[in-house]
Amino acid sequence: MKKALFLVVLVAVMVGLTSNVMAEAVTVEYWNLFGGGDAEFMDAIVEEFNAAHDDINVDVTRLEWEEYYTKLKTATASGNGPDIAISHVTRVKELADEGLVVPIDELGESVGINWDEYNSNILNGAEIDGQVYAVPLDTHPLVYYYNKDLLAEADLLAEDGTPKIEGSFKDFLAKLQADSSAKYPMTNWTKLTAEGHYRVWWSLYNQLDGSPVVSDGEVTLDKAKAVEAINYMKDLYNKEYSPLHSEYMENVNLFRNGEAASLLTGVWITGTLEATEGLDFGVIPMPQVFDNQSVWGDSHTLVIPYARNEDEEKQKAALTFAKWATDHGELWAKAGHIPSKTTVTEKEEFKNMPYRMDYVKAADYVTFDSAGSYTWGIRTEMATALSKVWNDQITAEEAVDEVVTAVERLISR
Amino acid sequence: MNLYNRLAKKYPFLKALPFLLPFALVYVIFLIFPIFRGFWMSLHRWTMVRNMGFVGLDNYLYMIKDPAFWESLGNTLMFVLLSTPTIVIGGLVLALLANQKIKGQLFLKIAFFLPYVLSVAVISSIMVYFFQPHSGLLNGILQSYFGVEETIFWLGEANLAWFVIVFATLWWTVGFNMVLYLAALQDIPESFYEAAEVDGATKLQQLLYITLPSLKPITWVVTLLQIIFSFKIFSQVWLITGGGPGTETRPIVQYIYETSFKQNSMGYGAAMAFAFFIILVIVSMIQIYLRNRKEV
Repeated sequence: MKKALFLVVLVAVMVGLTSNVMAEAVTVEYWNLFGGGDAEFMDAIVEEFNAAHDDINVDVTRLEWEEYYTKLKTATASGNGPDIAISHVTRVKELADEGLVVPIDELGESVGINWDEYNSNILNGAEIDGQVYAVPLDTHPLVYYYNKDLLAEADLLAEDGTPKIEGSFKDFLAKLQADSSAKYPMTNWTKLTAEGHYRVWWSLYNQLDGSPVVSDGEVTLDKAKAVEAINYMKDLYNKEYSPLHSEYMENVNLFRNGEAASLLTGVWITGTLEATEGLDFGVIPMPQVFDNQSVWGDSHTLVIPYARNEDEEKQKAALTFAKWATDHGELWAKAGHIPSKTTVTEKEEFKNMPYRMDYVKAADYVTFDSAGSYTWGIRTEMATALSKVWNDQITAEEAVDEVVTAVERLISR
Repeated sequence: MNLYNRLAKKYPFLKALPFLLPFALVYVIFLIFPIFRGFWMSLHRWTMVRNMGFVGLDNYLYMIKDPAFWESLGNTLMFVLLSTPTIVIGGLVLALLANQKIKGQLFLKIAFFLPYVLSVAVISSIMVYFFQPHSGLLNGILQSYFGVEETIFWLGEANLAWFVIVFATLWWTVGFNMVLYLAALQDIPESFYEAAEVDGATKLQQLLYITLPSLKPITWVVTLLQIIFSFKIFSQVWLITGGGPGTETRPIVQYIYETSFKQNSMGYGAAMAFAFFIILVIVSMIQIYLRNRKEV
């Protein structure tokens, strides 16, 4: 009898304990769009976070990048969205305009987020009408990778291992073409219709201080500057400084096996290049061609999707995760991305990583191309028009006119 | 119960109803309803998440004036015209080859059919590696062994890009048509050929007067399936050329996809999808009409 009583008490205590734990641990649904190396680093971050927090359990769902925004938007609109999700900073305005993400200034502060610690350039991209809608995680601009051996052949490598770009960037490429054994001085993602063209164009256009493509529902593209940027690119391909039509991995591989002396692409490829045997490379922010250092880049941020039954406890738990993940940005920097917090880029762990310090400045040069829900349409239209110029079907002026007409139609629809 | 029996006697269809109902429900919810819903959407300005208001036939009027719509519709038609004969005849030729009583016949059948089991992502990646200009297999072979000097941009010129897409589709799907033809070939009685041989017919005559006429019915089926399949072209173009160069290989399905999900314009996307649906209905009706007339 005593034994039985003891058992009953024991069971009661156990049930009580477990249910207590259950009640305290908040489960946070977290959606992201990472693939390849990125996904592994993000999974590791979540694992470490969960190990360090008894009261919060982050549950990751990884979605296919192509379908990600479709799923995030429709799920959120129908009330089945996650508690926290990754969004590119250039998508935040679109999500906010649709009412799918909530502002998080105060909520963030309540869990100890200090907005001043974030890189102000990235944070500005997440701000709409003075309200912060996203916790910036990183930024990933275009940067310029170069093969040290090949640059040295053309006497273009300085003592400190950086490229000697003394005249114009094109002079540099011309010398590389003439005096090095590389087949191509440079390579970038040039498959026709690929977004790669748009990224380079956007960088050059902003180096000319070009205006946003759309503002307040009107097309405000600066045609003359757009044309100047296109003609600059056209000349790059005409002089065969960079080969046209290369697929994305093809252009990376041309650089990896020494056929191209330099590579203009996003920071995310750093990990891949580091793992390439026998490749002695360096990296700098995208070279300045025109008036300033502007460069295309995007940024991963964490957003809180709108929920019908707002649960402040959940939102706080989600933001606690966002704060922790950004505070430990050096874990994420392994993937190549530039951390969003100045407190992270000052950490020894980050400074000791090779290459990262060489391009960390690029975060300040990024000009985001966020144009609300038109961003994607503009990117596609521009990339399409550019590929027609490379194929000599239309001139740069005609391409710009085509884009303007297409974007005007986009807005009217 | 009595009432049901009495009614069932009068209307026999009531007896079948319980058996049909489960399927009919699924069919209505997942196929019929979306068609009407799609049409409803096409009358609105509709983003991915919300209805922005009724616009009547505006989307359709816009569509008629949209050059990109006509261009992509033309591209789809172009693909149908290029791919249907190629893949139907290709399937026939391979079936005739694989049906020979020669050594390695089984190997041929397997080799011809194998690509069909691969997914579109896999065959597209293979094609990209094969045709990419600066380090692709084909240009490598041409430059190393055939003395070709210039780099050929297989995916950068419209005509070549069309060739690549049709080639990829041929290689990928021809095995299926071959299997259909092989089955039909097995059905031709051996005695026909024996009789022909006795009469002194050559192999060519046997092919022309026995084999091909016997394959007529199956050719109708194969062609019908192929046309419908070709109209739906999207994935391999999307993955191999992205619709490029420019928009020269962009099929209508891709344009609908881009409009709806990338440009956030579900209403206009739905209008084009509905128009495309009507076109397919008309094509199918013509086919049914032609076949019926044939059979009479």
